[in-house]
Amino acid sequence: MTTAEEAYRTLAPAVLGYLRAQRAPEPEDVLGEVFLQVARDLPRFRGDDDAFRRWVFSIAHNRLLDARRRVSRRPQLSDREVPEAAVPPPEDAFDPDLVDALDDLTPDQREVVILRFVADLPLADVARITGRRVGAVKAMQHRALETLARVLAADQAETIRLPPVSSKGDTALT
Amino acid sequence: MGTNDQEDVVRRLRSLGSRPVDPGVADLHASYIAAASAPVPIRSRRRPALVAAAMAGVLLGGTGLAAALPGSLPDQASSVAHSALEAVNLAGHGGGHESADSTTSSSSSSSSSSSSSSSSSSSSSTSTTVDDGPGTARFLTGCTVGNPPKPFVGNHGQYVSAHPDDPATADVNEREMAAKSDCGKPLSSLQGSDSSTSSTSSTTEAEKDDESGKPATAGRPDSPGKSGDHTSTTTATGGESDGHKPAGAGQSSGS
Repeated sequence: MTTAEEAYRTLAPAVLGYLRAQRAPEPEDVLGEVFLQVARDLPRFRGDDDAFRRWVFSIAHNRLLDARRRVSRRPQLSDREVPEAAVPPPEDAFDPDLVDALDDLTPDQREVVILRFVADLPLADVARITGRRVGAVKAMQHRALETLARVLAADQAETIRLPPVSSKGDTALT
Repeated sequence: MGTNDQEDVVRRLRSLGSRPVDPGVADLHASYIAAASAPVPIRSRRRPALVAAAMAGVLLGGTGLAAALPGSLPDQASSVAHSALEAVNLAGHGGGHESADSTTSSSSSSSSSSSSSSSSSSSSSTSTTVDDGPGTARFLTGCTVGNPPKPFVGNHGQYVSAHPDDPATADVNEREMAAKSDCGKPLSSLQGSDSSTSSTSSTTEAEKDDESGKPATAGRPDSPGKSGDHTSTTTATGGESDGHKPAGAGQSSGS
């Protein structure tokens, strides 16, 4: 990875997916902070592509914690008007069922499964970022996938079982 | 829970990380990144040049002031530099007046050295070499110390101290002779008795010899030896007008 711009083109989608899956507050802003730090610290980085990917997600992990800390210190006012978004909410483009299902995991399981599959990091790197042993990460990943599969299957079954929502016009006709 | 379900979950998780960033957001981030990854800040790149320029300025300024010391600047500029140096307790060659005096004495002495010995004598009387030393201008014409004699620079007390009474010459009290001389005395103190002092200094050394009954060279360090050789006295004076060369340096021009 030679430049920060190149790193952004390559890794920004994965980092943004990681941040959204973690329900980061203002994920695009956090993404900007992540790559700002990458650009600043890139001259000091030494390592191959795998190490670079791990390094970028370590930064993303730390910036996510900072963003959460900021939000917890400054709770948003509920009576404030939400400004009209120039672009449609990005969550629509994401997999809302899957993101909701991630909420059913423990924070540690969520962290592991997102780093492992959304960030596409090997087990060893996930273990290094989260500060756990590889075996523990593997076990967490297994349990997280089981839970996600079960929750998603249950949601799907519930969706199938629910009757279709009838419109007002249909009601009037009947 | 089957493996297929887990594989489906993994596939959906991976797709979360492959969605492109909104182009507007990506452009904004690109501008931030470009600003942050600028190679070297201009300020830190300019800093060594600024330091070098400041050092060069100090060196040039110091050299300019130093050049003002020997009177190489024009009179007006030299007097300005002199007054500036006086403020920091450094003495230069003064303004144009003293440098003009020094030039006069130098030219007269050089002409005297090329003329006969009689004219040398008159030259010696007018060539009151002024050493501006640090602080006060003092009378130092023909004042030497040591053996072989070297030009003396300092005050009168130092001059007297530099001439202890030599037990080898019991009939001559060198210290007393040194004390009687004007060497090292401030010129301002000699101004009052200028006529007498000047006449004393302008009178030939032979007359002094007559008065004291001692060789003129005994207390007068303007001659290399104590032989009372009048020619050597003249040449030594001419040599001093060259600056602070040893008396021997001027002898070649006199001979």
